[in-house]
Amino acid sequence: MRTRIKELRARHDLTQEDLAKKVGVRRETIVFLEKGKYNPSLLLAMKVARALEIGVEELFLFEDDELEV
Amino acid sequence: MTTDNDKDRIRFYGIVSVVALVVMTWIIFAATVVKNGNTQGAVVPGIIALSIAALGASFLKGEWGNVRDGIPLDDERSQRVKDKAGAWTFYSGIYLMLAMSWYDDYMLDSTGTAAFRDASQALGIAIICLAALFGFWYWYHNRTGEVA
Repeated sequence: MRTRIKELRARHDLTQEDLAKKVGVRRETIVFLEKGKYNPSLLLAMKVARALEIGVEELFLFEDDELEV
Repeated sequence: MTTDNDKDRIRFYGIVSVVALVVMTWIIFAATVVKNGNTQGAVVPGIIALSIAALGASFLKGEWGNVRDGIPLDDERSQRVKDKAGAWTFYSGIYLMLAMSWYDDYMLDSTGTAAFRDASQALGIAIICLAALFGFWYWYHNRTGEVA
């Protein structure tokens, strides 16, 4: 999984701490989300997407094989 | 109305009290050992008390910054880290108990004296080791970030 959090956070001029405060999580969670090392709950994914004013499917990017059903 | 930040502040004071209580317990233990005439025996409990006080102060300083800035003490990721650390502490705790049991038998066979004075001492040591294991696994999983 890759995410565009870092890019969009910079576009909105937000620090990791600002985003953490906005969505109500700890800063480490944002760090691991940005690195693609943490799969958030659906609720947190939606909150981050809303904070960055983007659709959730445009924020979290998966390889085709990861989404294979 | 109580906000989440108010709850975090109350929890923070609770954590401060627990850390202070643990440090005081070790200090009292060290003082009792000294009072019984075993000054050297108080070195290890003294070092443990100082280590917990130093690590605790550094941890609490960081957490106070978070609470003051409105960042939660706990979130879904830290909860998952805690769950995973708890599970790993359980698995490694089984090996710890086996190791302690083996060590006790080994000491009894080789020196004729059991490693632990009685069941209460063995239990105390096991509890301290389990707490240390939990701390280690929490640190490890939090650092590696492998909590899915």
